[in-house]
Amino acid sequence: MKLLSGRKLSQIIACISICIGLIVCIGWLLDIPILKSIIPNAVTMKFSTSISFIFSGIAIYFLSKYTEGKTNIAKIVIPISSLVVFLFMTTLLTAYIFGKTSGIEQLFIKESSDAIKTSLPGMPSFATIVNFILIIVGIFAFFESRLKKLFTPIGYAISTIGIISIIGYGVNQPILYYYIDNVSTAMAIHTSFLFTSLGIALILSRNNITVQHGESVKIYTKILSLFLASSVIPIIFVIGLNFNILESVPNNESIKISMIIISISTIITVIIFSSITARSISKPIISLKNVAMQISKGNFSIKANESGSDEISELSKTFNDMIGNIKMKEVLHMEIEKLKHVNEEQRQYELETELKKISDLKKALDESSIVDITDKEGTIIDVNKKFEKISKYTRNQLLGQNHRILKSGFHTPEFYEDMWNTITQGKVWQRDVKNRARDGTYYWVKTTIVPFLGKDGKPEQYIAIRTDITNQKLLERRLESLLENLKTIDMEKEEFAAMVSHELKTPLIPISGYAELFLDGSLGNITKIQREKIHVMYENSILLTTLIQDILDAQKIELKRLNLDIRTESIKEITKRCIDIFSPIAEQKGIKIVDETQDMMISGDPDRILQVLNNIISNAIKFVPIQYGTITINSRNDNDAVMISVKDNGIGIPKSKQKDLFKKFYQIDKSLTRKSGGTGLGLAISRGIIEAHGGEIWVESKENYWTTVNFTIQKGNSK
Amino acid sequence: MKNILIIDDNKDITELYKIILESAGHKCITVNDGKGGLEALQTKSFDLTLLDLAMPGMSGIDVLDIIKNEPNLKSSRILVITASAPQDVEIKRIKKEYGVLDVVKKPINKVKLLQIVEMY
Repeated sequence: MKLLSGRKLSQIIACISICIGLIVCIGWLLDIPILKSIIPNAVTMKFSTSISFIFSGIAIYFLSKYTEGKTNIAKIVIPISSLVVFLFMTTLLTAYIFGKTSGIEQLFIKESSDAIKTSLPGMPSFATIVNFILIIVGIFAFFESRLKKLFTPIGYAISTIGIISIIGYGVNQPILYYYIDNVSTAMAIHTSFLFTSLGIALILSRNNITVQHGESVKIYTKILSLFLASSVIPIIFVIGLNFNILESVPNNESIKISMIIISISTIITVIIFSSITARSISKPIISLKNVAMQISKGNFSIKANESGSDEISELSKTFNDMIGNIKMKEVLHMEIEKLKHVNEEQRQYELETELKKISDLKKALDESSIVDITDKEGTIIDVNKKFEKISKYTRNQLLGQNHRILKSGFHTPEFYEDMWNTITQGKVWQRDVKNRARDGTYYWVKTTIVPFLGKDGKPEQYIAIRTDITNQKLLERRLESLLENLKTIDMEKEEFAAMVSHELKTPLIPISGYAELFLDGSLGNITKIQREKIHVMYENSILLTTLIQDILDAQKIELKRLNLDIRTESIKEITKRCIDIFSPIAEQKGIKIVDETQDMMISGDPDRILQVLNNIISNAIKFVPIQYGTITINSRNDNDAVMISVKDNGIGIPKSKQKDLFKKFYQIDKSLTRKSGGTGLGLAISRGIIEAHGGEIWVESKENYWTTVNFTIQKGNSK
Repeated sequence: MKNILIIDDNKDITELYKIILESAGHKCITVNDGKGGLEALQTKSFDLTLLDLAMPGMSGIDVLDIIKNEPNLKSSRILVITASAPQDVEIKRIKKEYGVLDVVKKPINKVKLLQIVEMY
């Protein structure tokens, strides 16, 4: 409030100054004496003084406005007002210096009668001129930082000069109100008051100055003042020269007027030229400064005016280049920032995705497995729900405990040693482990321990993932014992078979042997009846021996313990051996056995293949008609095997029964058995033998006409 | 005519083989255990020895083991006759390890026995 009122006061004083100036001005123009002197019969205020007061008032008023921040009008008005005052005062000062009147003071009026005599009519006192010049200087000091310190003293000086004049009137000393006979007129009393007030107003206008954009005027003011200052002395000389010319031709009115016009036009020309020059120099600089200010606020789109070819336009160009660089850097910087931001966002997104994945995985793990985490000493630091459930410990009971508390004692120390050796090397360890729960029951877990490595590559923690395999283990155990039992049974069977083979066959040897000796007469003559009966004994003992051998073979096949002595041999060799065996009985029955096989090499156990052939032929012999029977053995290539066929012209086999032919103890006609002999195992054994060789055996037959038994055996490498 | 030693724990069988072989003109001595067999082999030389495998006490294999390690018995010509059912592999092994003439499975009838004896 105080500051505001100071500024307001200065504005009020300025307004009073303008008002009084106007009143006096009107007084002079209309020739009203009371308005000229305000106080009747007192010293008048000169016309030039009144004009100067008006303009000084205007200047100071706007100076105060400028301080408030309203700079737009002030920027124009202040220099103009100041210049008008400056113009008047310079002319008047010249008049004083040369002691001649220029006539400017009586430009609009004619001062005829004066209450107080003056050396020159219409001239203000010397002190008045000095004061006005001080005001102008003060206004320049306002804008000029280097003269800032002078501003307040100038204000005081102006007031002091006014006060001295007032005092002069008070004590009636003309010298104090600057009256010097024939040299200087007196300063009017109201002029003195106005100066006193204006000095204060000038000081107050400066109060708490906050010039922000003042700099834009400053350079212009500076240049202008520089020009004016440098032109003051020439002007004074020009005017002075005019005065002297006027002096030499005293009564020529026309010359007098033309001289006045020359003087004024000189001053005006100087002022206009100065203003334009100052403006042309300061304008680009100011605009450059404005651009710089805009840029400093971050507005890079603006550009300095580069027109012209002087140093300032060069500066503008350089400035623009610089701005261009800065702009580019700024843009680059912004782009980098943007990229950084994008990168940051991307990383953040990836991190979040990764985290989600991990938490999903953990959830899946927790749902499916028994999980716990231990430190490198094996102290439990985390367990999941499933772990609690299987171990029957609560989480709180487990945390901080060594994992050892779950040891069942089932595994050897080496088992655990192996575990520690593996995981301390940072490797994954996987085994089935038996653990003991809190209630003393045992459980089996398939355990995988994964070490978490620290930055030094050494394990810091271990995560153990387990699955409950207690039931599986139980089943395994049961299965193992079952298998063990089965093996024992198999072995017993085999032992039994070996025993049977030896113990049953041995008693038959003397029976059949002696029977044979009786029959061939080695033991003396026997009757016909005796021979018949001994023959029955012999036949049956042979049958029994064959049966025992067949049962043993069938069992071997069933147990898949048929050991084959694989050799390469010609099929012809085998058929020859077979025919040798059967030719006696065939001859006896009048049956023909025809060998049509070729000399083909087969790969197999010759004894076993012979056994197959024997079985087939002994069957055939049973079913072919006596005297007319024919058995033909044939062989041919069948890809990488040899197919052997035994064809007979026997009774044939019904189609429906061909499938069952190879079953154990299968006989088409039970009644035939007794008649033809045989164990019913022959074809089953044959099939077992052929299949063990990787071959096939099958039957083709036409009932009442023929039967063919075919089998295949791997081809052998010919010798 | 051959000098033949028959070693089998079953007297009925040794007697049967003896009758068969002597009827064919061979000279036979029978023993019913491994130990006796070895003693006979030590005291007399034979053209052929028929040896049973499954015997109580000293088995046929035991007899073969001793023969293998006795230099003066090593040249004995031995034919193994067995009633048990040894695997084919086992038969091969015996042949190879003890250098026996053959391993023949029982039963052997008169014809076959005479054939074998003639063969070796």
